[in-house]
Amino acid sequence: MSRPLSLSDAQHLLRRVAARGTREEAEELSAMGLEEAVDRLLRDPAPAPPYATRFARNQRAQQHREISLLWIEHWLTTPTPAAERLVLFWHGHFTSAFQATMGAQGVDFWNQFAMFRRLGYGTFGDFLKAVARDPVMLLYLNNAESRKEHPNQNWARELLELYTLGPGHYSEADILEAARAFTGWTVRLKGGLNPREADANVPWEFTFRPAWHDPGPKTFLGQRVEGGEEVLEVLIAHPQTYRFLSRKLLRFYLSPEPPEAMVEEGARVLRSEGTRGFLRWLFTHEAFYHPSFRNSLIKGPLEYLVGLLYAAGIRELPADSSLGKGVYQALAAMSQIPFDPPTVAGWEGGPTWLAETPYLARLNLITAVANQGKSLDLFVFMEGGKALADLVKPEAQLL
Amino acid sequence: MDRREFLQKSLLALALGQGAPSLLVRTALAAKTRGRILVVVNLFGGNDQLNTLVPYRNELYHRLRPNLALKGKEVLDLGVRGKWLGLHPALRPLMAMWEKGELALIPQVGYPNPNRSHFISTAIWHTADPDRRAQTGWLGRWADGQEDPFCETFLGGAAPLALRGERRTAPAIASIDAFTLRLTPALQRAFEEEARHPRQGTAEEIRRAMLSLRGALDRVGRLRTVKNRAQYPEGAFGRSLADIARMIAGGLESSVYYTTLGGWDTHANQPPRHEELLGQLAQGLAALREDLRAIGRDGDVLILIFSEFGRQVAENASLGTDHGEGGLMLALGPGVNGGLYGDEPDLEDLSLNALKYRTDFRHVYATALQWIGADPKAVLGAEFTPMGLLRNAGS
Repeated sequence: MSRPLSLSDAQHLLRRVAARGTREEAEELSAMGLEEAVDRLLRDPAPAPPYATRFARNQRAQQHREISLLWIEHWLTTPTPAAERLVLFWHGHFTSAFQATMGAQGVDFWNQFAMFRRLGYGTFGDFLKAVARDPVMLLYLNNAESRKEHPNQNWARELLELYTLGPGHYSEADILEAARAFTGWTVRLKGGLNPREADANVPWEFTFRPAWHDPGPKTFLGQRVEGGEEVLEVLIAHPQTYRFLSRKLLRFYLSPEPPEAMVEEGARVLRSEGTRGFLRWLFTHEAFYHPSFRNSLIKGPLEYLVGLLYAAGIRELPADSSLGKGVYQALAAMSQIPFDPPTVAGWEGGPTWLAETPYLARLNLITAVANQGKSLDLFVFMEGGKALADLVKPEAQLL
Repeated sequence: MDRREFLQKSLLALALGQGAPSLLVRTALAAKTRGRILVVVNLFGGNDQLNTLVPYRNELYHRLRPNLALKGKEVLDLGVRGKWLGLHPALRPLMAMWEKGELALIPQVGYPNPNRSHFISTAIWHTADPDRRAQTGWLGRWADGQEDPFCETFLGGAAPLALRGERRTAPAIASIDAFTLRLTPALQRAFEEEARHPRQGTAEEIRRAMLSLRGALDRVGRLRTVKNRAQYPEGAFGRSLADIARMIAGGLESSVYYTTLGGWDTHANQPPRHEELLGQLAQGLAALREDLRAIGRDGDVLILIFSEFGRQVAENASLGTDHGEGGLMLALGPGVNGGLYGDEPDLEDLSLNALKYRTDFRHVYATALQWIGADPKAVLGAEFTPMGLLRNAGS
């Protein structure tokens, strides 16, 4: 039997979890009750449409715009929007930036997001193993070029610092040893094609080159290892990995300063029940609905934009329409272009979203949305939202 | 702005019914525009000192970097004053400054117990606290003691930690020309009205952001008519420097302008990328100096350039370099006592393949704080002797 879920709690749940919704959708969730509503939101993600481009391999800026708008369009139309907000979380965690990933195409990033969607709710171990073999990641953090003679440390360092343990739980020597373990983990074009003869829709795939690999023994976090698989196993077994992720997920879904007890409990749930189990635990937790945690997060630009477009009834963003172009420019001005986090640590978020320049861009979007001439349903978008003028209130920025 | 320009603006203000500034305000304005300015350029990603300030006569440099080393005939020789080191050829626009003694090169700058994470090292540079206890930035702490919210300005999307204080964070202006509020008069009135009502918690934080934005719209809006008098390189970095010059010319009156240029994390295929970045940097700085000269403010401005660390000495297999420790800082301007503030790097005395740090960055910060008339000890929390980088220190 589901516990009751008030309309106001349903509104909060829908905004937080999916970043989009209507009054009708909130009413449906409320009628289901808490557990059922949460399970409904956390259903298996609907796949995104396939992506293929007519642009060439070197026309990357055009591809970047296409996949950015296609993703937002998918977030606006999918029956499982909660999965897309989670994809955004993983994108900010397992970062890769289009601009900085030479050679990678739109299709490679599109495939990476499909992997985030497929594995994002599952156990962290399976997910991490897939990320370590993800062509975009191997190219972005230069492991694709790492050879035994001179291992490239970029991937190994960020794997430890940003993706699993966090600073303070490893040494410089651990980074060197991990870098050696991952030598030979590289990419090739599907079918062994040469980039010069392949069109932009031929993706990269993982391949292991034994000749580039350093097979000698290594000591990683006090354990003897040889290859990258074993490094990953050590990290997957490490309790700090789950503490680090639990805190980060709670900062994304609960509060900028989550209570320590919840970080600890969340780490245990994450480890034993995977990310979906963690989210189910959190969204059915009393604390999640406590007044001190409601409206305590600041919407990121993508969340703001998706929520606003959805409230305005906009579901399509053709890449060459003026709306599509305007949306892409607005994201740049608000400091969040998809597939392009500013640094390998992702988006800082919080109050930085409302520095003068990005805040101004949000306000200027109101006029663009008003000019679409559709009716606005701001019930889920913001607490107390009724009419266009409410969008200038501080409450419009809260998640 | 000069006296004639000032009078013209006052008359314009009068014509628009905004009232002429009182004599008192004008005097204060005039005194402040004579003030000194610090421009900080943060190169994010870790610039490679060895291929910026090149020990090209050192045989070991060529041996450790068989593919990345710059050849002797390519580099710009710095002569005896520069201990026969050379600059990367893309830095040619800075050579005139070197010749005139207006460019200081400070190699192997860092801090105790170096951290090779971009983010931790950047945070240490920004807070000026290698122990990582400080929550505020070095310039933010200085700004906490100032009246004007525009005492420091960030050119970009959101001000970095360096510019965050207890009381406030520097205004972030990515572009003067794009900084316009496009709301209908009715919505604009609603915005004003909402900004007047205090709230609780996060909503109140956002209301404060509304107030900052409104203040910034007033101040920056007036700068739109100011023109540049030099040609800047294409790209966001060049545009930011161009806007800094407009802000100075238009009387925004910040003592500190801060901007960034990213992309220095050259783990792979370093040569073309590094050349492009150094070119953007040098061309931008040369244009800024030219622009400042044209408005008679060059002598008031000290420009400081840093990166969170240098890179490792031996190249990796991807034609790149991994994260190192000590890195190069640059200071330039007519107030600078140009020259090399260090020695040729010792490539045999390394720390895990990286140059060790020799100069603590806080000595350089102390000098910069001295330039804008701030108390280095109050900001840095301890005594750091300013380096002798300035021609007339303390005046």
